[in-house]
Amino acid sequence: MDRNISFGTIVATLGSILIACGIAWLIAQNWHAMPAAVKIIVLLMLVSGSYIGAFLLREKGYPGIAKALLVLGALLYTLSIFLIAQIFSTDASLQGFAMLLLLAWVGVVIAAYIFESPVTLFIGLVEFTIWIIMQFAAFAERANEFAFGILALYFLGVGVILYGLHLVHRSWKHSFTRTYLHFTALFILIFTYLLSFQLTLPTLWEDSGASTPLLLLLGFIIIVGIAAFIAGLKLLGSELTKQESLGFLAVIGIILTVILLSLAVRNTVGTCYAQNCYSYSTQDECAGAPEQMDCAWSNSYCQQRSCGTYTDQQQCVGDTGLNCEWYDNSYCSFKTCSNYRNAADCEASDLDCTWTNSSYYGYCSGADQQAYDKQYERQRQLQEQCGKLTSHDACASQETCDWRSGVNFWGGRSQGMPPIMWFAWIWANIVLIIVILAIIWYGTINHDTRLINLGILFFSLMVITRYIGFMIDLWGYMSLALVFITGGGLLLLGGWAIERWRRRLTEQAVTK
Amino acid sequence: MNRNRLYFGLGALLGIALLFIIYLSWPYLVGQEIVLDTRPVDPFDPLRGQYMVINYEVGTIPSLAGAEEGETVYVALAEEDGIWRYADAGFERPSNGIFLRGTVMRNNGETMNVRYGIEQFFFERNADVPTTNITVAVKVSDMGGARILGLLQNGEPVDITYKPVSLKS
Repeated sequence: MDRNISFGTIVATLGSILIACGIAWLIAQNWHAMPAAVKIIVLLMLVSGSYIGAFLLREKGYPGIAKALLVLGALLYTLSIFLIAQIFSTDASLQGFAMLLLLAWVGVVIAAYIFESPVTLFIGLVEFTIWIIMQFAAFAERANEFAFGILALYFLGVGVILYGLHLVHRSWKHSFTRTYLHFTALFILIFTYLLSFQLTLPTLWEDSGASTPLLLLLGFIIIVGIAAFIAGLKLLGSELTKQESLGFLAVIGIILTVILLSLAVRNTVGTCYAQNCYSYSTQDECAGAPEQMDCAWSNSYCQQRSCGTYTDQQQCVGDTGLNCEWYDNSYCSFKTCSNYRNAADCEASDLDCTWTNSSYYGYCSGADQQAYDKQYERQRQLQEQCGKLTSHDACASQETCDWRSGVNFWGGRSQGMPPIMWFAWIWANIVLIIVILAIIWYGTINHDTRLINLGILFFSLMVITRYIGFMIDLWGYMSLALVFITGGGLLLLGGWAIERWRRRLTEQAVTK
Repeated sequence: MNRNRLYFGLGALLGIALLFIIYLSWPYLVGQEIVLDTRPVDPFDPLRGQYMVINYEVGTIPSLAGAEEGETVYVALAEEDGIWRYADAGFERPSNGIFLRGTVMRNNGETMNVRYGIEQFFFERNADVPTTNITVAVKVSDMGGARILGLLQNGEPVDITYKPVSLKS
């Protein structure tokens, strides 16, 4: 990749991004006055124009501005896919969106190879990353299995694929070598950074993730990752030092320990809520719900029995427990004064109701809220019983309760976390520091300033994030100061030891 | 970069777009027109604009024993007063008749929700689209794939009111 980007190139690239954003909003506007076919032709002509312009500018010696047009071409092609989908009113579900992104990134990556454009590849890889997340969400939504641990494994596998592709391109001395390397670093840094949050760790395996499509995609990513890595190793042969390949595997290994550690903490932190009748999805399950929950099947859903669940008068007035009444010959509601619309019904009621005539309208009022109160009191009692249970096992043993993993910042700060959770979180942060240092080290030995800057950027981000985190958790500076001084001291000593080791090696080399 | 590369690159990108258009157009080219009954609402998609989510009458059908979420089902339709309604459903593609290919979204044992990929209709932002007494004209291919032809109100194409486009729209 050309490492000397001119100011003009940056300005032109920003211009391309602005044009693409403007066209995206024009598409969203969906102007009816322009026929669909004309819209598609105009956009595809703009795509072609961008690439032809880039080709001509490259020939005339303006590679920077050509690069900006390649960015525009890739973005406009992506928008064309969404425009076509809009015109044909295709599926707007998560799976539909993922499908469009798949078409977009495949096209952009193909264009990147044909036009030998690292910046186009970068756009393709960003779209690929969004696609992975959307495809996970689509599969998870379909299976109702939101196991973010599987997504974490997708990310890890994709990191290996990207590094493998970097090695393969390095063996070919291809211009995409550095793009793949930089994207691998960015990808792994973002991923490890997200794993370093207390909020993330206990929720990774809340669901088992045992859904066939989720696991099939994971298997595919792992196979491609291993194949790409092995291909890279074979092609590079002795050009790749053992230090580098083992170093990469070590980084992947320690990130894997965080994901596996998250399995150990999955049920250690969470809140016990009252089970909801809606969680029973079939009529049979609903009928088998615990008696205290008082669930009833109504309108194709399992709902807590209330006056509103009755659709005929006989059932409505027959439920003495809830004290319901059939109103206006059409609906069932709890018996209360405010439901009476005229003075006669109001006064005739066996409740203690009074009809009041104001200047504009009359209304019936009284203190009776029995049925309404009964319904809510029942739910409140269940919530109170479940809320007292602070462990997963105790909560799971109660049929009426439902355990939801995760640090509940709203219910109090995270001082109540068990030691294993603290350990997992501290380890996740140590791993983040190791990954940052590994990337800075790799950037240093390869004289790659972008990698070094990326590492420093994430180090700064980590310091700011942990500062905010400590303020939320402990509301004080003391522990933060101690952690930073200890960590800083270790890094300083480590840095001094590495520098001494490096000098000794240099001296030995000179002596030899 | 030589000229052949440019032609090849443009050919690849335009080719993908063209294949996508042909795939989406297939039911329009070979399909049969039917009308389905609905119950609509309307959200917004940031990349594709404003659209109406259409809940079809045939979107909720009697449960098929063993049908799981995400599974493909074929829903056979029969015409009744100009509207095509549920007649039967199964996991195997029917050999004749009009049918839709759908995906099971939820199965509660009594009924199940099925999506056919035609549950959204995109229209101009801020346009006023009627939402009552709506039926949808759809083209269905012989494989069960469907595409929306247009919205109908009381059997006639809907009258969409468009606000004039201005710099503030």
